[in-house]
Amino acid sequence: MQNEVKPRPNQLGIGGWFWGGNYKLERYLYILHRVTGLGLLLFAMFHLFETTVMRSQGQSVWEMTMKFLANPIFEIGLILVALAFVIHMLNGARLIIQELGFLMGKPERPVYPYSDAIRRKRGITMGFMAVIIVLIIVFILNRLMGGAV
Amino acid sequence: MLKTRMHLLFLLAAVGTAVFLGIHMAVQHLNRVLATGDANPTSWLSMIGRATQSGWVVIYILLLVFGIYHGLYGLRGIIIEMTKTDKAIAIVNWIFIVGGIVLFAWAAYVPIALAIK
Amino acid sequence: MPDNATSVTYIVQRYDPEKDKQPHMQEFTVQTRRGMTILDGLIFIKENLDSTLAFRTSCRMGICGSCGMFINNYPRLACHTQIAELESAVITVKPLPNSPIIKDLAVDLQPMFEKHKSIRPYIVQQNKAEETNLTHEYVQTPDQVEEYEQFSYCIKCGMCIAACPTSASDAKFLGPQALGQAYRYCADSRDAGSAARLKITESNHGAWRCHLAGACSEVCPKGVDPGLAIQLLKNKMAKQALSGEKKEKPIAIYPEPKETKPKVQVPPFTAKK
Repeated sequence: MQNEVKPRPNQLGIGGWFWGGNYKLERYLYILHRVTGLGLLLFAMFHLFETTVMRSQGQSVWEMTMKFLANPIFEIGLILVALAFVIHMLNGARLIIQELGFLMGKPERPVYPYSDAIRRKRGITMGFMAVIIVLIIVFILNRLMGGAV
Repeated sequence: MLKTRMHLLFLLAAVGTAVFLGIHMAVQHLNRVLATGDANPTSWLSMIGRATQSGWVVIYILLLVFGIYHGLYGLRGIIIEMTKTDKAIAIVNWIFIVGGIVLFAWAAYVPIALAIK
Repeated sequence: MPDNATSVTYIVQRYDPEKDKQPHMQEFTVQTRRGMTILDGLIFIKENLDSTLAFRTSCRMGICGSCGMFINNYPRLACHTQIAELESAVITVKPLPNSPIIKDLAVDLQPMFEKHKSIRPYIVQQNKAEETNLTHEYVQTPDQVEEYEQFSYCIKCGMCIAACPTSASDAKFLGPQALGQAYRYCADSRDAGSAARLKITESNHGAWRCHLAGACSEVCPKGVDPGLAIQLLKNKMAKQALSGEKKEKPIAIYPEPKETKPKVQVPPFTAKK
């Protein structure tokens, strides 16, 4: 009589989002996009609290809040938010274009050694990465000139 | 094709958020590089000045609409990838719809109230 | 690995559902020869060192998709991967992630087959009567074939699902294999089932859960590029959502010949005595 064996679950789980093998750049851009998105959402919640509850209580409360936020930890946090915004926005622009199949090229008969559309169009990814770097430099410049982040 | 239309709206909201958040970041945070003329955009006077200009209020409301839709739809997508049953997904959907409306109403109240005042 | 090395260490994940509570790793030393594949090493282990090692193998030439495994942290076909190409004295072999383990390196691919079936992986006839009584041939130009041909080379090895980050957390996600094949049939000019198929792929666990990580296309051993198929599928879904369901155009049929040549009369066979 044959024994029925229930196969053992083998999902990588959420850990699999971060690492599931030695894959190429685009798989890690995916998790970077996800992490920056969540970071921006969390910041947005705090920022909305600050600009509604604190702002509606008048000038003294507002100025006290700004003084509290002038702490170096919050300044570093704001730099990270600016970084996250730039990365998420530009990687997102790339994803919107590529996800809807634009600029991905046409299907090609596979000839060994195989390549895939995402790798063939890596130039587009690199272009967006370059714009990210330029914008990060602009934010750094602004900070060095004494402005807000 | 409702789910596809909602996803396309999510992409549209991404573009809208990028545009209005870009304006917000450029004017209030890149004030030195772009020489906006506002030395301290987070000061009370500067902030109240913007709060009374209808153009800025429209920008903030639109930023809220696009930003809340895009952010909550994205978070909903992440949670759905961890949700097993269709019933749980339906509950998640309703939490996000109600939560999103409440969040928008709460966040939009102050800019509108300040503008009317 | 130095040129004069004659052995490698295989670290293989073992799991016997009748004896083990959880998987564990076991080491074997395998003598190598030039041109030896990972599969050759596993067969050597099974024949000489431990006959209880379970794994799938069939064609041993990269066409059946049976021997997909997680080799040195990357999904590969064991028959198609030479030991020398890994350039390592240690070969770690595990079963493909994101598919349930039956025993040792053999995974249960039934969930993948069920998802594949769910997207209707067949030509849906425009005229229902043709399903039981085919009366004509379809015409297809080389350009029309090229629209879907690449995606028809899928060997159902399951490696794309192993690489997909969404499949890691969402067991119900249709996956790159099923979604790629959904596009293969939607892009086929002979098919009239796009509208219904696109409704299946837009489910909560469908194409919109793909986020273009691209790992599926990277690992595909036949160059099928399921990532491209899914993005083209999304393009189709977006167009249908924005423009609504259009009435299907009649699919080109090979015309009946207007005149037929008379049948050649073959003389009766006569054998020389």
